[in-house]
Amino acid sequence: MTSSNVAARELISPPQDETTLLSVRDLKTHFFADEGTTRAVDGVSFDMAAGKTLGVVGETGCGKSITARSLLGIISPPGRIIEGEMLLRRDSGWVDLAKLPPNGPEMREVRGGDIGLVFQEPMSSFSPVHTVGAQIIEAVRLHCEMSKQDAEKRALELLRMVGIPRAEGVLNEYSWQLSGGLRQRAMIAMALAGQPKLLIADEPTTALDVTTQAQILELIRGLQRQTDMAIMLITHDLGVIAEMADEVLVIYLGRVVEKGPVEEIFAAPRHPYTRALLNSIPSAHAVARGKLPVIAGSVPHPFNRPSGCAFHPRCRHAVEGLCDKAEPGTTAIAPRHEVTCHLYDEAVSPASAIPVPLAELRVAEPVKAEITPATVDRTDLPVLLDVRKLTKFFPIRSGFLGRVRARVRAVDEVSFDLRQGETLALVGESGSGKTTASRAILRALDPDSGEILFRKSGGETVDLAKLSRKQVRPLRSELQMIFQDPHSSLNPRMTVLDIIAEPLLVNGVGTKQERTERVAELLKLVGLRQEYMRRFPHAFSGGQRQRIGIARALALNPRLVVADEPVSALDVSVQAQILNLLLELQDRLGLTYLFVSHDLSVVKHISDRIAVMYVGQVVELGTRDEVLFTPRHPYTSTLLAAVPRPDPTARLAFSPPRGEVADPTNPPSGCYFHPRCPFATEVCRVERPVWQEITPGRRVRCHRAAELDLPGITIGQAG
Amino acid sequence: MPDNATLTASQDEERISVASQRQLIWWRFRKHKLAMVGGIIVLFFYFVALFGDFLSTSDPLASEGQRSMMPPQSVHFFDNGSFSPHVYAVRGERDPITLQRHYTVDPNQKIPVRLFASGYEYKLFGLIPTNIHLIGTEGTRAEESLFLFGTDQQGRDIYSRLIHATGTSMFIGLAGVALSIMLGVVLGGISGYYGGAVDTVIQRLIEILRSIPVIPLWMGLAAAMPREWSVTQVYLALTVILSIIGWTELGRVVRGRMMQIRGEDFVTAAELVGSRPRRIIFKHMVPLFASHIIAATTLALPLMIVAETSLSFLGLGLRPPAISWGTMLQQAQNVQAVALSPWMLLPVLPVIVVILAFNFLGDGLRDAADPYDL
Repeated sequence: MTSSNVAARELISPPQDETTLLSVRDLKTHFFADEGTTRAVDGVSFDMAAGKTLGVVGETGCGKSITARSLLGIISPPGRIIEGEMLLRRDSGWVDLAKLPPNGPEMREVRGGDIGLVFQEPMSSFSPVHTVGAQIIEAVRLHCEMSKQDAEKRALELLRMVGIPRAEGVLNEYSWQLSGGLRQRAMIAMALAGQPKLLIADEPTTALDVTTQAQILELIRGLQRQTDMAIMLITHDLGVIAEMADEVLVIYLGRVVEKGPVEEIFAAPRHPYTRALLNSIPSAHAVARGKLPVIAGSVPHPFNRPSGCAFHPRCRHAVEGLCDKAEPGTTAIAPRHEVTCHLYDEAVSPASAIPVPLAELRVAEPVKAEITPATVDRTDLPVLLDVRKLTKFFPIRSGFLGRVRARVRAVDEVSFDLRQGETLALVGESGSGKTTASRAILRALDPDSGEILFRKSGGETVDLAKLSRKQVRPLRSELQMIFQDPHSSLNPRMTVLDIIAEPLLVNGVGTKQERTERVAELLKLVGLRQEYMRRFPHAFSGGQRQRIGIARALALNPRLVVADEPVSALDVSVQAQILNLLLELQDRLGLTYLFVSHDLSVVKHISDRIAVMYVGQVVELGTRDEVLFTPRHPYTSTLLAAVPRPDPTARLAFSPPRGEVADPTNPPSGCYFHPRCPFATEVCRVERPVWQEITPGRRVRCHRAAELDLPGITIGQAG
Repeated sequence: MPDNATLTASQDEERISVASQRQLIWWRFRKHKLAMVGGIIVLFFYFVALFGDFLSTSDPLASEGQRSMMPPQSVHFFDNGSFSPHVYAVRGERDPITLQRHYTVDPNQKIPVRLFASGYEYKLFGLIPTNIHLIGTEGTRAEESLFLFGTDQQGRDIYSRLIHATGTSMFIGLAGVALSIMLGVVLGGISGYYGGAVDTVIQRLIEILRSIPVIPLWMGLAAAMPREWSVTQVYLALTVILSIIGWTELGRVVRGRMMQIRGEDFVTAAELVGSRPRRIIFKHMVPLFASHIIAATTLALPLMIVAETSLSFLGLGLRPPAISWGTMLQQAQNVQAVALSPWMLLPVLPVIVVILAFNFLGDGLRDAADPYDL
């Protein structure tokens, strides 16, 4: 044992509480760069008990992951733990992880032994050149002395424990041969190899589809019951927190702003930041087209931490002269519930300084729809886009001559229509073909067959599918797109002015002066200051970049806007800002949206009608209320049930669907959903269901649509 | 307040926000000390190359039998306490038994060294006729010349030859790299943008070119070059030969970048607003890897220089009377010459210095080319 290890043991005053497994006190992890010091984690304290789950929430860049990495001693330079204690109860006694040399033998034992880790992206966590089995066996043998045969048995046991079907086979497969869900299960199996007392799961389900997410969360919960481990669950998704956590830690810019039991945090959040986060979840209030409450602005870079309370520039209740000057102290609200805010500190803030009586500081009531009521009947509006049997297959070529071996049925006879001024949401899990369909409609891809009938501004209808790329070009101004990834969608070498003026320039609209004026106008429209025109994209946050992308899409006054997952790369608070903006723009400019999303809570908020896609086909189409409250297809019902609700009192009492999304190169016979469908009968296995119309405008692709009574979102869920 | 994060932005942040790609690269490059030193050295060499005749002390082609294999002369700056740079006259005689030439210094006969002395006639930049040189001795008699680095077998001034060789070697690098870049960007770009059959053909071509053993190819081509070609023609032919192989590396890099950028959303966005392919390629895609091309160039230049030096050294490249580092070193192939007159190996020094400098510079440029992870 090195001398520093001895020191690590001597200076400890361990917590008295017997159940405490880990006690972090005043942890500070800073990054030292040429430009200055980034205080990524700046005084975080919390305790964790065996068998309990601690949920850690906060927006991107608030220091959640750095906290977890500090625990494991895997902070990469120029980062360093500069202060604080991280006391871990090991079998041999208490040890301060902060004082252990990060690459020493004891830290290596802790890492993977006492503390297991599950990352967000399971693909990069496995080596692609070793089999899954070899990697798990290696992990087992690193932490328990056993023979190769015993380790293999143990690995098999672990794979079965995490619910991997045909575990023997998976043992000899490579990580890239597994689906996302199976890969994440294998990752969890590896994390469990050292029989950890603490499992750190850093956004374990963020990269997964909702149904897979539900399966993984169910698995983690079951494992915790079996092994009594403590779990630290890091996520930006408050629904997942409500579903899983016992205690919640809310972090803002490297500091804990509130911590407490999950019920209290969700029922009576105290800190304005916690409240704002909860308010901005679209699923909390299923008021169609209602304006979501938002948190102003976005998280500043920790390098520019605001003075006083770091949250004060975005805080509705900030007290001038207090919050921007003095750092708030921590006040205990109840046993185990603490908040770091001036509003609750009687010593600092006189009672009169509190702007809102505490009793009223509940989760705000949803702001009633102030734009367009959801009940507007849009059936009399003219049809702008009519998609009929749109099909796009991607050939898979292999061999020397590049012969087509298989076809990915990405879009398989998709039909729907879109009326002027409405929003149709195209919903589905990854691989459902929703993005391919949307890109084919815009002719960014060439469809194989089908019709895309578009009503031009003159009233004349053209079939976009039949036009050549050159012939489509003049129509481009009427069809525009908003992209998912705000980083990839803006050319880093062009200024904001050049980016937004590009559509005008290539279509020969206006003089240079007029274009600049138009860009200023567009920036104002999307809520950005026109002084930003000369800036480059790198100077903007994700939300601001998305606004720039929207401004570009609007430059030519389009009539149809395809929004491809426009908010899924953004934090909840920013997501709400962008959704509000999209609704406002639709109202003001009479836009028609085709809104592609995997997230039903977002769709719930923004859409008029919903089309649900599964393996390249639309399985259900109807108005928002019809699809959400009375789904007619079992897949829709499953999707709705799998969405975690931000209400810890209503945890999922449902069993997630079996299996995985079908393989679009080789879909099952009959109905594509039958292997996962709880209601499947013999006919579902054999016969392909037809795209039938049940009531006017409402269509389902299911054999048993007429007889099944399926649950939608419950009233309690709707808020 | 919609954008409070930027309300608190400092002036410094504002400066970064509106900084163009080029400025960001320059700011980061400046922090790279070694690359700055490398850059200055490279600039110095090109300066020497441009002002070759002005910096020379004597005609690099003038041979003088009486001055064969003379050791370097040292410059004395003070004469009896007063500043007056001069060299001593040297008297040479041949050993009647070994036939080796011996030089004796005569400290009594001082030859003054002057700035802006007149010497042999030349044309500055090939245009302005003049006979002014930075330093030199007045007079044209052989025993009054200045040989700072000594002379070779034929009695030619190594210092002046080295300066002229710098020009040849530094510019053959430039011309060769320019040609490889043109080939690499155009062919690699086409390959990456269009893909499919075009891509397959170009990629197979690259593989074939890269599979040819280089030295035999050069030997064959050198043999094929007609003897009656002038120095300039050989020089050009050599450049072409070097770049025919040289472009393949860059071609692959450009193709890879092109394919990667094609998948970016902003390219689709540009297509969707109706931009034509030419605008997409030149306005949106090429600027993204321009910085990589610059970095690749600075790393390719020293390779070209080494290639030219090695080829000429082997007798496959430039031939006398062309002066390059390679042809100068060719004279040092003989062990006896090196043992008796080690100053013949002096051309090795600039080769080492230039290549190190280029590598530092290229390294710094490559690091600076991606300034977005600030």
